[in-house]
Parts: sequence; structure tokens; C-alpha cells
Amino acid sequence: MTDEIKPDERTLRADLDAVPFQSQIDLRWGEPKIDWPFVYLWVKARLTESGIDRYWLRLDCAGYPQRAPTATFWDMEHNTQLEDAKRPWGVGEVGLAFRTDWPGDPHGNGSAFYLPCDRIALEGHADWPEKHPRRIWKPEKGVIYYLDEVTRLLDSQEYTGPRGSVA
Amino acid sequence: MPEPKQGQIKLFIDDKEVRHFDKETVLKEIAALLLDGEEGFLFLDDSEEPLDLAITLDEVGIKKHGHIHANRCRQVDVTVEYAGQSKSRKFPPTAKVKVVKEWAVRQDWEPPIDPAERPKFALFLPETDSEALSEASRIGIYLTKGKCSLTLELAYQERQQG
Repeated sequence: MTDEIKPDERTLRADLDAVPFQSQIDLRWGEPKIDWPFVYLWVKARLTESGIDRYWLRLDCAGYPQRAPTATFWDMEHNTQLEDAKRPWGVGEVGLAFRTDWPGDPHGNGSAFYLPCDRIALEGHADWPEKHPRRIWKPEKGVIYYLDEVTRLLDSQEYTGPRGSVA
Repeated sequence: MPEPKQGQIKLFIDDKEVRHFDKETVLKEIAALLLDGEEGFLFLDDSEEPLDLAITLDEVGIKKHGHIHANRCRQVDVTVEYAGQSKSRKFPPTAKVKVVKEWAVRQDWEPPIDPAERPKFALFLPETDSEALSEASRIGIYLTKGKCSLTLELAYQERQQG
């Protein structure tokens, strides 16, 4: 056993310490906590009638940045995946990216984002690098790109609020 | 990231670098430093009007840390191209790409863009294969040296299928 920080954690910590991430603390995200390989932080959402304007994420960053992160919405109080009724919901790409009927076993439904920058989504879609060359995960894009994609969706008109609050 | 000395103010510059200044620093000095001595403007986040360069950081009201955007241009003449047509409008350099896109998709294009289709569009730098511009980024950072105009392409963002 060794306490030495592995390269993936070291790289992720450096990216979280860099200006592009730090400059958006308390604006687009905040309160990052690392319990390797997991990173917990909240991300800003467009304010809806629900009054909710942020969601906590848990990102699994093992293998970063060669391997893409994978993330889901997290219940920090109970340290578990956020229940479906409290997850952000919407139409179009939002409904697809934050779907709760996928990826199934062994990961569990709702445990990843259906996005070309998500590790688990990529593992199940060998054709995505060709179909979505601009949006696919690349190590040089870094965790900021992943967070950009999630916050873009949560700020879009296609996002309608927590699933349970939508009529 | 280095921490400021006691009494200093931490400034995020264009969301890509950080610098520390004494609170008595006059904005004109900061602008000269950030713009390599050329004339230009400083803006607060989400502000369309430039700051008065004769005042100090303390007078701006920034206490411990803040966000500043430095640009040689007071306004950016943005031209958006779509379906062989183009539309232009001036924006402050602090305008987010999302604001420009929301304006662009509402323009009188032929064929018109259906309101239900608007979220599927994104803005791109012309003649590149790079990803869509981050909607949270500011248009001022995409200006090339010596220019206060910017041409962008409006196009469908690739979408994953279920």
C-alpha cells in the first residue's frame, strides 16, 4: 500500500485547481470534494417554478483524463444516487441525456449520463466517435468540458425542473 | 493556484487567468497590463458598460475577489451565417455565446427556424472542425488581434440518438 497520489487523481486535482474551474466556483458549480475516484460538486440549473437551482453530481474520474468521467445526480444527505423524482427532467436532449431507463446492469439505471463525453455511454456506443466527432470525449478537453455539457443542458429551455415537479 | 497576499484582491481575468492587485490599484494600470499597453476597456461580469478606468478596484466595490474582462473593443460587431445568409448585430464583449445564439435563432432566416428546433442549434467558429462554442463563454475571447468583428456559423449541434 502506498499513499502516493496516482497520475489520474493528480491530473484531476490540477484541473480543479486551475483558473477555468476556479473562476466558476459559486457561479456555475461549487463545493468540490474529492474522495477518489469520486468527485462531488453541485452544478447550477436554470431556476424553474420548483425553486431548485442546483443539483449535486458524483463524478467517477478513474483513469482521468485518458478515460472520460462518468457521472450521475447525487443525494449528498443519504450518499446515494438521487431518486428519480428529484432528478432534473425535460424534453429533447435533456430527457435523453438524463434518462433513467439506461444503462441497466451492471451499472444500474440512471447511473450515467447519455452523452458522448460520458465513459459508460461511450463504452456502449462504438459508433459515437464517428457520429459525434465534435462532441466526443478527448483527454485534452478535460473535466471542464464534461461540466460544460451538463450545465448547458440544465440551463436550456428543454430543462423543465425536477422530474417529480413536472405535471 | 497562488493565493493573494493580505489585503490584495484576486481577479479572474476573462475566466482564464488570475492576478492579484492591491485594492488601491487604478483600473487604468490594470487595463494597460492586461492589454499590453494598448488602449481598451475593462468590464465586470455580465456588464454591457465598461468601467471608468480612473477609479480604483476598491471603488469598483470588489472586496476579496472578482471577475474582470479586458478587451480592446467597446463592442463586438457579430455576424452570424446560416443557410447562405448572414445577420449582424453589435454585442458587448462580455455577452455570453448563449445570448448571441438566442438572438441568432430568432432571426428572419429563410427557411425560418421552427421555435421547437431552436435548442438544437449551436454557434461554431467558421472553417474549423472544433466543437460548438461553449454557451457559457464570452464572445470577446474569440476576437482576433486588431479586430472588433466576429463571424460565427449557426448550425445544428450533433445530437445523440436514443
